[in-house]
Order: sequence, then structure tokens, then C-alpha cells
Amino acid sequence: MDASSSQLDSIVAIDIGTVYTKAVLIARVEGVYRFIARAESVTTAEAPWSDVAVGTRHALEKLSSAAGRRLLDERGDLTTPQQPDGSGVDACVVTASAGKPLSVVLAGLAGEWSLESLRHAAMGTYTTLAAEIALSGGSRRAGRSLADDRIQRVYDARPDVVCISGGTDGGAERPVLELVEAAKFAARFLEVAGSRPRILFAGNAKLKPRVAETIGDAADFLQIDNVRPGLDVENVGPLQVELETMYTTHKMGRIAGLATISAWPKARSITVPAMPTARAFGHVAQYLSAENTKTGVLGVDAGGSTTTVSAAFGGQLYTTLRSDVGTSFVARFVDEVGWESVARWLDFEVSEGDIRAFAANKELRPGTIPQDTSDLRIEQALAREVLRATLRAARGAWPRGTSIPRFLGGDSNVPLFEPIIGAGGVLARAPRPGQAALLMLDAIEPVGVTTLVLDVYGLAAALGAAALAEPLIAVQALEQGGLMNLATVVAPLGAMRTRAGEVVMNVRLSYESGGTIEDDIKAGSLSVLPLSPGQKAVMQLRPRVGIDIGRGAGRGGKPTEITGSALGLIVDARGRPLGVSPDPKRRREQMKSWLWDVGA
Amino acid sequence: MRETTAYYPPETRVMPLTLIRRDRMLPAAGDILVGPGQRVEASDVVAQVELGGQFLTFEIARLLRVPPARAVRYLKKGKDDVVKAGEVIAGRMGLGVRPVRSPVDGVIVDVDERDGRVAIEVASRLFELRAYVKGVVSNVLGRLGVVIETPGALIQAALGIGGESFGVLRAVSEAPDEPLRASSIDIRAHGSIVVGGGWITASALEQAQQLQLRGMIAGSLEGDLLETARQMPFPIMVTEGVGRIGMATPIFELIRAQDGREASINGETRTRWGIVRPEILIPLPAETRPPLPPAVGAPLTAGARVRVVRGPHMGQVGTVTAIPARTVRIEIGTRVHGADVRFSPTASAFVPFANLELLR
Repeated sequence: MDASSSQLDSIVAIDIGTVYTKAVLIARVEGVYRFIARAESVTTAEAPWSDVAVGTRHALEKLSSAAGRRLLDERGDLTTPQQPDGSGVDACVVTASAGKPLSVVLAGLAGEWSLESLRHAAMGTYTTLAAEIALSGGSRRAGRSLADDRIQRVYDARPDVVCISGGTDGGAERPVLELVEAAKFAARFLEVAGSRPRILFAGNAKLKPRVAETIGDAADFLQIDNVRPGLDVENVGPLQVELETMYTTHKMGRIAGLATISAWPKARSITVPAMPTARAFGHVAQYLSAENTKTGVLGVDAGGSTTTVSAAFGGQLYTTLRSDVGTSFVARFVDEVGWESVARWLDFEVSEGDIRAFAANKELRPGTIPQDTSDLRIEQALAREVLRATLRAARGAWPRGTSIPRFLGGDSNVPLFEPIIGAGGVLARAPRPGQAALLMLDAIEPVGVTTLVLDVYGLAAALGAAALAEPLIAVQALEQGGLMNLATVVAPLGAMRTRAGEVVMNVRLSYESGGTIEDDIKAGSLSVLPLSPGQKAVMQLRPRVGIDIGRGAGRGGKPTEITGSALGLIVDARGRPLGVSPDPKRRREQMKSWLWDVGA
Repeated sequence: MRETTAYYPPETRVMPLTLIRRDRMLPAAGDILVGPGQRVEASDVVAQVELGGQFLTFEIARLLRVPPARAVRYLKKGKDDVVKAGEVIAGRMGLGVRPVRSPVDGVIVDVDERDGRVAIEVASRLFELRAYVKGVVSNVLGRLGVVIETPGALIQAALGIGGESFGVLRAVSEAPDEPLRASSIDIRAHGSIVVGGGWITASALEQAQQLQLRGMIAGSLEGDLLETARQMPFPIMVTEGVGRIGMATPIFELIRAQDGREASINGETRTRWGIVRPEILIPLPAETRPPLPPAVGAPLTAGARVRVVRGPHMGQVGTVTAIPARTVRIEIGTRVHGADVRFSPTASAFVPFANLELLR
């Protein structure tokens, strides 16, 4: 592809996270967009700075130094467009996740799927769940009617937005209207108290005129397509779009200093409005999936403050966020999953106090990094659980019964993905590639044949945003190694536990440079076959009867050429779902062995 | 790739004498009870407001058995009217139709004429705002609050559990790394804010409850005691974090030097989306007005006083002696930028920037 016709010679992408602000410089070199340099600094959204422009300038100063190119003028503003002396850049794109999430109340009918669909929609952007009201469910406070209780719960939650669903199109009416009434009264009372939540109705389409009549001008109100128009049909897209628009306007728009940064691009430079990081990250998965008609594409971003799972199937994007949990904000999450769930990923003994102390301290100082191995292992163990929890929530929103995603069945509920992108500090800064790969394998439990790639420069969101300014930037920067190839993975499905120790597959790699390596893979094992970056090899897989690698049970398919990566070829025959020993001592041995197997 | 080593670390205030200013704000507009220049004690109520926030609604139309649109004509009270418990808010003549009475004291906040529904905000409690810190009222912020000012020592803690409190400081530990146990807290600590050095133990929490302490300050709190600590009726402040970490020596010495003085502590801690740090304030006499805390945002330089906030030297305070231009490999194998820190004439170490904070 040729970038010579583009107006842009250089672009800076800035991502303002809750903990760190990252800046990336991409420039056209010999007609091709390439990654030049990156830098990061502590985000300064909070007091005492309360201005993200301060941290952004710090990051850009570092970027200037790293790239040997002056980016800021004497006033500390980004120089745009690129100057004849090579200083400045032609464009600047900004992504942000530092804003406070939207606080939402979800209200639906108990026993229906509408609440579930509301959850899927709300988790598509930066939201926190302030309250959930299921009509006919929940406990009533003493001395109150159910109607008053619902009003009080919405009032006490003081949300930014109340999302109401319930009733398939043409279905339930009266109970849905009761929810609308409760929201209306609560909104009225809250207005007196100084806040004005918006009411979004995404329920029974037939009720729209009556809902509009009920609310009247009592609240800021919008009708949206039903999130559950039929029992088997989910349509969360329109509500998700509305919530994301609200987040962008009401939360990102209030990040102090963001307006300063957004005003940097001047005439002749290209302006892209600041966008939520998760959306920009999702663009990359969506872009890659548009060309892939056989499998989905998965992106997982283990950020400090937010965890994002972006799955794209045939160009359709499904984003799921845990805005309440990131690798730095895990203290309450330990209560949610239990400290033992975290401890099970460790190869040494820890107490509940150790895990809780770690989580609390990390939250108090989110920008800190591990210095010793045990500290690192706990951080990575927590990241496994955070990603697993977000994936659990994400899976419910993925479509079923379509050609993609394609599930292999059996014990796995993860569809085939190619590739799987890992992002976030805990992955990108893993001291050894094996640690990042094992973390992804344990958290995601992929099946079939896939490639693990690592957003080692923290470029993915930036590329997703930059693609809006110039699509070639994303394409070429990805092709030029913007993402690091971590490993090719073969994860066979079959009765691994009952066949433990039995050979379940034969793998042969025939290197382009000459030579062959062959391995009999035993059930329960984790093996790595070397294939360095730059090398190529033909991979031939011969699964035994009952073993599926995505090509049908017992079928290995044609030999395929694979390219080298940081680790080479990983054959993960540990089975799905991944089983860890219930015996703590054996489990620690198991973890030690897995770490050893991948060179972590 | 080469990077500049400019690093702007997070900062923690540990100031023996500064000008402390605290905005004391009501949750809603109310009555201000003090004026500018007035001296206040920490326990003085400086403002108050009647707080509501609890609502009851009445379907007048249904209760009076009339169409919703006609219900409003039977109302005996209107919007913003104060009602007493048992008072009739709506009624009409009719067989078997009872008047609608308010079950509570409150204010009618909403009359929905179309639905025939009335909402009452229940009069609840009087919220009294205390000065929290002994000082002088330097400003009155309309009907919303006041500003209190005093010279004093200011220490930002790492974690607080609980809200505001004030009382006399009672230092009970001899060393900054001495665990705070029940045996350290005797009857003389009754009603005071106990200051330990090292980590708070389970026995100390039990003893503190029995002695009705006003607060507890220590270096750290053991991880498995977090839940127990949340149940305590007084605030707990830890200056270093969670685990078994001794208090940073300068903080220990500063607080210990004020043994017997009155202090105000606020355990509120918010770690994102509007960070709030817990604080210890010790009002002090001063002949001249001390300076306000310095502005933040200075890059880390040689000579800076820093504290290590993670890793093997966690809790130690030292001085930056050099900032290497190149990255240094740390135990886990990563190469990072950082600083050489001297903790004592014989002890120093390289510490990653990310694990340092400025103490000012």
C-alpha cells in the first residue's frame, strides 16, 4: 500500500489513561507509515494538578527526546502542522479513559432477559452500575410501598442515566410503565437536589407513546430501540451508542485540560475528535475481522483502571468493559472473586492478608511497578482473574447460532479467534514474553489454532484512532510490526483430563531454513516449539481420534506456513476449561511447571 | 531508544508547620452559625441544615376513588407546604372514603396533577457541620459553608478507614517499626488518638474499641484486618500502606513530637475520579503566619527527599543522590528509569521512578 498520496507525514497519538498518559509518534518514512517512538508519563487528571494537559506535555517532552524531534513550542503547545525543519506533526489524535464513568441505573422486568441485555449495553462503554431494579424482585424497605421503594433506590443512586427496558415489542406493558413512573419521580426529586439524570427507554416499542406521555417534560428523556425486541433477539447497539455519546459528552468532555489538548491541531492539520480509548481499541479488532470470514478477532486490554474485551466477528464489534476493575484497582474485585481464586495462579504460598495487602497497596499507588518476582507473580495472577471476569461478562453478549463466532463445542465456550491481541501494562511490560503468553492463555483459554500478538508499544488504541485521520496509518503501522508477534498457539479440544499423559497429537515443524522438529503432544501438557522472529516453517498437525483443533475431530488439515514470533509455537494441551489441581501443593507445582514450560 | 529522565513524581505532604485551610461545606444550603474572624474549636458546630432525601408518594386519585385528573381539587395542601404526621393532605366527602393523611412530618415536594399523585419529602435529621479543626473562620461561603484556617502540621496518610475525628494524640510506640499491640495501649489512651509506629495488630483493634479511642494512627495495617478495621467506630490512618510496614521515620518523629496536642484526622480515601487523601492535622501556635503548602509539579532532582512506595525498600525515606541517564535492570528482568537513593550513610539503592514519591 502506498502512503505517498496522503496529506499526513506524521501523527502523534495521545492516550490519556487513569494512571498513565501515553504518546506515540508515527511518521512516513520512505513512503510507509512507521512507528517511530513512544513515551509515557503519569496522568495528571487528579488533584493537585487537575489538568491532563500537564501530564500530556510531560509525555510529549519525553517523546521529543526519544524521537529527536521537537514537538512542543515555547508555550508548551503541540506544534502543528509539521514544520519544514522537521519539528511538529501534521495530526494529533487523542483517546481517553481517564474520565469518571457514567453512573447508570438499570431497570427491567424480573425473569426476563431485558435486564441482561441492558447490562450488555451498559458494559459497552465506560459505566458503573449504581443500582439495578428488577420489577417484582428486590427487597422492600420497611414502611414503604414498592413504588416508593423503586423511586427511593433511583434517587439514592443519583445516577447520570436511568436505562429502562422490559417487554418484548408488543409484550408486557403495565409493569414497564411502573418502572417509567418510578424513574420519572426520582428524576424530578433529583432535579430539586441539583442533578438531572437522563431517562433512556429501550423497551417495548409499542409503549413508546405512553412512555412519552408518562414522562412528559418531567425529565430529560430519550426513546431508543428495544434492547430485547424478541425473546431470542438482542439489539443493544442503539443503546450502547447513546451511552457512549453521553460518556463522551458528559464525562470525557469534563476531563480538565482535554479541551487544551484538543485545541492543539491548527489549520492544515487534521482534527479527529477525542474518543474513548475502548472504542479506538475496538476499531483495531474490527478492522482485522473485516478481512476474516472464518473466525473472530479478540482484543483484551488489561488497563490500570479499566478492563476491555473487544471481540469482532465479520466486522461486527462487541465491546465489554469493566470500568470498575483494572489491574491497579482490584481491592474490591478480590472480594468479588475471592482471594483463593487469585492465589491459585501462584507458584508459591500466600495468605489472604498477602493478597489483600497487595491489592490495597496497588490501588493506593496505581502507578507503581513490581520489583521482585513474587510481587510480579501476584500482579499477573490478579490480571488473569480480572481478564477472566471481563471475558465471562463479554461472552454473554457475543452472538450464537451464526457462522461466526464458531464454537468447537465440547467443554469450551470460547469461539475460534485469529488473532488475539493483548494490551495493557501488565502484558506489555511483562519482563518475559512467556509470562505475557501464559497470562493470556490462562485468562482467555483460546481453542484451535491462533496467534497471540502483544501491543507492546501501547499502540493499538492510538492506531484505532489514527485510522480515522488516515486509514493507511493503522494498516501500515500494523504491517510494520506495530504489534509484536508473541506466539502461534495450537490448543486442541478433547477429553484431556481423562486421557492425561496419553499422546493426543503429533506436531511437526519443517523450517524454511532447513531441518524439522517433531513432537508427540501429551494430554495435559504445555509445549513450546522454537520458531524465532523472521523464521518461517510449515506446521503439520496430526490430532488423534476425538481431538479437535478447529478442523473437525481427528483432522489436522493441510500443512500451513507459520511465521516466527517471540516464543514460537505453543501447543496448549492442558484442556478446556483449564483445570488446576484442588491440592494447593500440587497446584503450586503445576504453576511452576507451566511457567517453566513457556520460559517465564 | 533514549529518553529524557525528567520525571514528575506523585507527592505526599509531611509538613511540620504550614498554613492549613479547610473548606467546611454543608451538603445543601443551610444556616451558618459562625462569622469571619471567630475562633472555633474542632467540636464546634459551624453550620447546620435539615436534610431530607427520603420520599413517600400517595396516589390521591386511587385513595379517594376519583379520576386522576380530578384528584387535585381535593388536595388540602399544596406544593412546598409543610405537613405534620397525621395531618390530612387530601379528602372528600363520600361513603367509605377516608381522608389521606401524611404518616410523617415533611414537605410536599411534588404534586402531579395528571397522575393525581402527591410526593412528600420526609423531614429527617438535622445535619450539624463541625469545625473539625481548631482555628479561625477566615471566610464564609454564602449559606454553603465556611473556611477554617490555622497554622499547624500537615501529614497526608496513605490509607484512611472511617471519617473525621479529633482528639489528643497519644504516642505509644518507641520506634517507627514497632508493631501496635494491645499491650501498648493502656487506660491512659482512653478517648485519645493513639499513635503507633509499625503495623496495627488484631489485639490492638480489640483494645482500641474497649478504650473508646477517637482514632488510631500507625505505619500500616495487616491485610487480613482490613474488614475488621472497617467495623471500628473510629477512623484508622496508616501512613505507608497495607501489610507489615513501619512508619516512615520523618513522619513518626513529626507526630511523636506533638504527643499530647490535639489533632484532627480525616480517614476519607478516594483513589480515583476525584482523589481524596486521608490527612492528619495538628494545629500549632505560630507567632507569624506560616506559608501555604508549596505548589506541586516539580521534576525529581538530586537532593530531593523521597519515599519508596513499593518493593523491597517500601516505607523507607531517603535522598536522591543521582538520576542515572540510562535504564537499569531490576530483579524481575525489566530495564527501567529510576533514581539512586541514599537511606543512610551506609545504605542506598536504585529505585524505579514509578516506586518513588516526593515527601514535601
